[in-house]
Amino acid sequence: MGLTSGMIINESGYVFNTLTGESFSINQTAKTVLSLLEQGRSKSEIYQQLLAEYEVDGSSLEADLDDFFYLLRKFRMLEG
Amino acid sequence: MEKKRYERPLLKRIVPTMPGKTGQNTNAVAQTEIDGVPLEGLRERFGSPLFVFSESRLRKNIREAKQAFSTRYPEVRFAWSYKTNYLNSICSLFHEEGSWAEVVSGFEYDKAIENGVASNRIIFNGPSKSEADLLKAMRGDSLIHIDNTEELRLLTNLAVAEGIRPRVAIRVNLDAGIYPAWSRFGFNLESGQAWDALEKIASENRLSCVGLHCHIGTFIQTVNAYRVETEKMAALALDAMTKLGLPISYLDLGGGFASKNSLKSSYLTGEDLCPSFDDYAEAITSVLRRVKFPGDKKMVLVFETGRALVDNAGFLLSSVITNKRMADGRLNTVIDAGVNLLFTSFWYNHKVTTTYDNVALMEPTTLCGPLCMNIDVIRDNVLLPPLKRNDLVLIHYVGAYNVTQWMQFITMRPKVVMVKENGEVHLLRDAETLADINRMEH
Repeated sequence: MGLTSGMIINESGYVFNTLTGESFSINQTAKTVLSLLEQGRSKSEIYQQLLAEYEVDGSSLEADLDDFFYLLRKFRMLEG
Repeated sequence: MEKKRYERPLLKRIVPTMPGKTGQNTNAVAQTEIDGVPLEGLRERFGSPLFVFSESRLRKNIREAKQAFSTRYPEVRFAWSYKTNYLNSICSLFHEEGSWAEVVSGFEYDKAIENGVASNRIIFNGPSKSEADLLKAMRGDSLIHIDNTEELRLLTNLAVAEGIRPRVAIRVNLDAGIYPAWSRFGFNLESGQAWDALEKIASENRLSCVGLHCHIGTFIQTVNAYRVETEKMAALALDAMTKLGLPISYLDLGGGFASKNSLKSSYLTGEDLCPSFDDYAEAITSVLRRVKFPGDKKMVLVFETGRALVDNAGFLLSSVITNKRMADGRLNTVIDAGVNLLFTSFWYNHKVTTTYDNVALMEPTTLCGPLCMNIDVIRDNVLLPPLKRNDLVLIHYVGAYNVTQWMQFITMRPKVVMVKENGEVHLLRDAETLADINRMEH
């Protein structure tokens, strides 16, 4: 699982999906997740890294990541 | 290593639309305290959800209202509308500030008496007074506002039987140029019902008709309606005094002043739209100052406004339970306060704040309560920062009607506290328990 090719992500939190022509805004945490996906990290690896780095409990993070990945799939940003 | 502050990952699709005429600030503005008392501390001490009232706002509101009218007109009286909020501490505060009591049931009447209001300072409105209610009010020399012909007949008979001459007013409804025109309560002016009632009172001579009452509606955002109401009521009073010889000494122009809440149907917010006390006062008193009553008598002006005095002094503090993504992509944030506590969420787009400051990226959110009911929606669509479980949410302008119309339904009614002017927090009402619910069952 990784990001589809054709995703343009800039530093200010603007995302452009060249496959669908849609634009998005993302916050800092979302940027971190997309960056880790670009590096080929799995969802569970991303979960572990965020849990170690951020002030968040495991169940909240799990729910938030599930939701975020749901949106990535919905907007056709994920491969596999 | 110190951990970083967490914010839920947020992905928001940019939807190109036509630019609107009015921009809106989309950055979150935090509210972390009420009158200097931290919200987190309130939750720790009293639990969540929690109704919080601000003493300073309540006093400021009634003082502003009184000043707006008393600087324009010599004889003004406020009567606290019990149905708007009859927590004893709230009522007592308004009584301390000089307000009489305006009640609409025997239960509210008894509450006012227990709050120490002299019975001759109670205005008894409402469409359903029982014989016992009327007896109690006439024996207490309260001001009884007669709603219908049968009530007039009953009261007259009781007055004869008791040998008492009760002080009364008739309730009048009229066309003040607004829609909907409230014609359900009292006697209609334009059709002649009000005059017929006054003639009966004058000819039977058993009741002392000392006032006229009219309540044109609720959340009235146009001051011109009050101008029309005042003109019509002043003309009726003049006729009742000169043609029927009735000793009219006050005009009760009801309530209905809007708070700064935002109606669901409204494009702009209530803060932008709703008139101030000065606006209402100018419209009403500018009419009355021109009217000459017999003997240069100054008519006492009475107001029963409730909502505008208490709405912005009440907050509902709540906690996030969870976030859920709906099948259509909308985000639902579920909080622990539902519509059973917040009846007014059916009328208003209540202002909602969080403790997150300066978050630039917010998400359109449906804010739901905890009830297992599809209608349990506090806000259909509100821009909120990314919230997580246990985050605090503060709902504003909830002081009117909620702690009287709330329901025990699925969850219990929570505690109510007041932040005092000296910074202390007083518990006004305990949370309900299962024992409270079971106590009334057999």
